[in-house]
Amino acid sequence: MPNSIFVTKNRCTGCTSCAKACPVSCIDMVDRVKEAGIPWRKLAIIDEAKCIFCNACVEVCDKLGEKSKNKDVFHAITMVKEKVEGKNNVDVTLYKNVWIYAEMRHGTLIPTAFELLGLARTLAGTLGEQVAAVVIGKDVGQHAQELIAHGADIVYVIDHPSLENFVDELYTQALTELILKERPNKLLLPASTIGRSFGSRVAITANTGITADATELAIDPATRMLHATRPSFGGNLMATILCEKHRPEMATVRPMAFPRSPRVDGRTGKVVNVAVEASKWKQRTRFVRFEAEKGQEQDITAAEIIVAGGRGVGSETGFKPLEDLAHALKGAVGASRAAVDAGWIPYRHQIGLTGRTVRPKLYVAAGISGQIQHLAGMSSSEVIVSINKDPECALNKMATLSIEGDMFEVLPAITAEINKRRGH
Amino acid sequence: MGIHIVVCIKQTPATSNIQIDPVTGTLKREGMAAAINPFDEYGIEEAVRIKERLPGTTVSVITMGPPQAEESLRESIARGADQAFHLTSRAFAGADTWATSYTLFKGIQKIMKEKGPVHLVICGKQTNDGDTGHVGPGIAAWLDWPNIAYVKKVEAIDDKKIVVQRMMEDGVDVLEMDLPAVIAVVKEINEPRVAGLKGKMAAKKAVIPKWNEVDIEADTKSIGLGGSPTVVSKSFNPPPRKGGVKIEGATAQDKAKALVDKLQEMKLI
Repeated sequence: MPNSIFVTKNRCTGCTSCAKACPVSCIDMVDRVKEAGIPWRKLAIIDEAKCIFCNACVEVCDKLGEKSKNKDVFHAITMVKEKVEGKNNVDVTLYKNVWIYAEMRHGTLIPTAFELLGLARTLAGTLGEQVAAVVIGKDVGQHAQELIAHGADIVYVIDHPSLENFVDELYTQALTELILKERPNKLLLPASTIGRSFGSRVAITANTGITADATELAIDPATRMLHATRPSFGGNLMATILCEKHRPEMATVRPMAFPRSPRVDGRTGKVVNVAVEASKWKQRTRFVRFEAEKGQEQDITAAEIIVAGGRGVGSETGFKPLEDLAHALKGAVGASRAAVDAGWIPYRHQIGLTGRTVRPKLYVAAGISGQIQHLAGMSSSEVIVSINKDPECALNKMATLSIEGDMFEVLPAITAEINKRRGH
Repeated sequence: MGIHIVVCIKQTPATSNIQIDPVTGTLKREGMAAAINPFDEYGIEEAVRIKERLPGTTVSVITMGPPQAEESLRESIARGADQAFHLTSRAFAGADTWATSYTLFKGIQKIMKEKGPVHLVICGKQTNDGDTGHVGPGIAAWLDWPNIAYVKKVEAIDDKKIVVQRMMEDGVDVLEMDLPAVIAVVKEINEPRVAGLKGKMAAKKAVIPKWNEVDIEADTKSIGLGGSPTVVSKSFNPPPRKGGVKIEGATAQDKAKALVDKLQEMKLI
């Protein structure tokens, strides 16, 4: 029997809470046909074809029922989940250790590799297992010691000239072979371009499940399962994902979501040089060249401080005071869709639903009103400062610190103040 | 020589209509309109542009979704696609990215069986409701074809290979791939056109086949919620962010001083 979900008509008050909680907007509030004894005007109707059976509506309705004095209303939604028997069940006890993919970019480990090591140590601590790092590339063995110093007990080195640059199918084959041989329990990858690109491919070739862009991860000590929580719909809904019957449980982890693990000199670990038979791999993709970003701009997804501009910036040259402040704060420059669409700044700076998602320690917004699509990309920043002429705009109202004023006066004043205090 | 392109799309809640409930601070979802996932619009447009470059090219569009998702397939034809295929069945509901990419893979195999070889599959980089970016590379894994995600430009293409630019955090990687292959595209790749009258007429007339799990010969243990390795154990709205302090001051300089004081207090600078 497939899943089913239905509303018990005479328990529904038409309060719309379920429709608001639904992540896929499959609940409609329709007008009720008048019936004796039922004062409610609306009724919730669930479109089963669109429903993802996430239980969000059931929870919110039940919660209202617990609070309500009237025992005849709420608890109105019933969900019956399909029972699935034994598909691809694996013996989960055969899988050991928490692995991380230590991503390299042009000869350097990316900062998120160290964030993953710290997280993996916590998870492995709960499990009583070891932390292993996998590094893939050409001449990458030299980084093994650094990974050990930062918390890896084992480092798997997959080293081959054909792996010099990231190519989805080659990296997938390399990592999948190692997973099938060594059977890790958990596998974390950075939610970077590379991690998000080949993580999914690895999950399918290794026949397991993956959670994208997790921001909270924990082990349930009773079940030893990974609980990966991720934002969806631009951060307006959080979902906790489980992978019950397949191993390793995989997740990509959002950069900047966890602190970097500290370096401990003299820490020891095991280095495993993985035998590579590249001739067996399918090689249908060839790396041609890399074109570096012009200038010394910082990437917004890895920046701890971001200064972003929107429609209020007004022109390409209008970004100058933002760049000056970003420079003084050693931060990166971001933008809203309005500024990108106007052609004032390239797309790679765009933050929001159709741009990138960021989570810096400090987000300074100048001339951004705060459309929901923009908030989706930055609302989980630790501290938000908003400068806008309109004190009633959404960003000024939600900012940790807000300033009503002209950004072209306020931004240079802030830059000058910072430089003054630093004794420049 | 023309090639055959399949664009994978999804109908999702339209982002342009998103509103926040002023009382609860959560998304208003009632009556939200549905539209083609914005990233998929770039996929459709890129396929049509390749068709203009390589005469004789056929653009097919496929989606997995409820009956009403047919609207998005007709919209794709209006924007220049030649034909569309609709994977629809109650059994597909609740699929995670693993089961979704499997189902689309089986759908693409069915297209190949009926319409001949496919050279290129194009996906949007992610959907605006799920935000995973996993389905494009997942389809490539099932097909055992090479793939590149985050494509911002197709530099060259013929019936044997494709050269693309991939948007990275620190610049651009240029790669060449043998066809058949899968790409996932970002917004920067193009500016989608508005549907013309001719397209709209074609969309109206198009006959769109509906295929279920039997039609695409899918393993029923690998589709829908039951076939998904991952499950949502709970979902919740994050607590809304409360507004903070308004920095006051007579001049811009005063406000700047007060702000820098605060930021130093918070040890941010």
